[in-house]
Amino acid sequence: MVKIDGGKVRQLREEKGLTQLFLATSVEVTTDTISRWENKRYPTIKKENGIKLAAALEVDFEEILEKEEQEQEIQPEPEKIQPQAQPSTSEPVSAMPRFFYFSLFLFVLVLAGLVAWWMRPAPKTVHVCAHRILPAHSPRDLPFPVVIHVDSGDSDVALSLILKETVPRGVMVLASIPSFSDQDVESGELKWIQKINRKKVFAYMARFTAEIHQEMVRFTGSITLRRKGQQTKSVHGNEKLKIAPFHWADSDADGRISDEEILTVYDEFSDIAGLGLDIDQVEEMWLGSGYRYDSESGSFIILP
Amino acid sequence: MKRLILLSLIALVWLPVTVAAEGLISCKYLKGSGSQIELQLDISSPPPPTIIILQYLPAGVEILKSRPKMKKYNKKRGQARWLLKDVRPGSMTVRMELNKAVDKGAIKGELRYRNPGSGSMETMEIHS
Repeated sequence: MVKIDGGKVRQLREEKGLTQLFLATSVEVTTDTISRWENKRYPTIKKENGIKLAAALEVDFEEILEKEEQEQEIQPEPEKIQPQAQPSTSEPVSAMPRFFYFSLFLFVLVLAGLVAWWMRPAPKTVHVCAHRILPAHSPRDLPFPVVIHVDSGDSDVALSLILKETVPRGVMVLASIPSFSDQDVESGELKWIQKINRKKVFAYMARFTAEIHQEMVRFTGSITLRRKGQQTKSVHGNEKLKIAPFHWADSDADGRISDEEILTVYDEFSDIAGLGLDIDQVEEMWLGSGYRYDSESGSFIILP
Repeated sequence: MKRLILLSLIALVWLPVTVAAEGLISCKYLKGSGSQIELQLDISSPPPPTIIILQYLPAGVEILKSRPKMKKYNKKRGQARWLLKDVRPGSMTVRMELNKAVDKGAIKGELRYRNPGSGSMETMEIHS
């Protein structure tokens, strides 16, 4: 391979009134190749083509070489010989390695992308559960608490959720913590839209209305996460409440508040004392020997 | 294989936690005789939110004062009751002053609470 002086080639061709087509035909390359050689300052070409070019220009070979030309072992440039009828379709000489490197770069890029996608941390599935604590019974005229514990396990991400609770017909909701976002009086559905972080307690106070005819009512609820692919889950736990002349904290309905019952009241309901829960009265019952329900006054009488 | 190793590690970490959860509270009499009685509770974390202490006394013995204040004293049964709320981990002492001195072994106590992990009722006897 040799380096020629492109400017010199052009100058000689023009001085001699030769066309690029003539030179191309003489050297057996395309006119584009001749043009490229002339436009580049010191293009590298095959030595045999250089000799043919010098001959076509009627000069010595050395005259068209770069002044300090030294023959170098470099990658040969493809110089397509094409019929003169289609001179402009030739592939650029230096395009091949460039295209190769560009393709290689793209390939590596795509491969790295694929590896990164494959190695990506799997999206965390969040398991959220909701558990309802509902007393087994309550007298007709007195309020009772309902607590729903929502737990998103160890997830550190704040989760947006919709908690729906359907209160049965004949039960009236008096207050809630946090305040529900919506209430459908017709269907009895309460709705909370909240953001939770690990755990949250939803609670409400309710009581039976005069319209209640049945002795037992059933509560249902569901929880839905605002996350792609998350399903709606039912609220687990107690769902049946009976009308009975026993305090809601007296879970075994034996007419007295035992140690276990007072501990349960404090452990599970003290967080919602702001709802107007009668915890002090339950404690009085625990300290007494028992209680009885007076249906006429609609209150409990504590036995000393 | 990875899952097996992970499960084994979890089991190794979880086992001591589970064992520790069984002994949430240790309780002993610092002074179990005389007219000044002291009961010490050592509460681990997480603590049970509420604890009931029952103190049984011999017939004729009454509690003149106590700290924290007891909830009720049943003379007939000789039983005093405390209801400790918002319990925090650490050590706490229940002190009581009696109207007459009692001998060692004449009094006993009982501790009741709900296990914060399982929700089950736990009862501990305390002997002087």
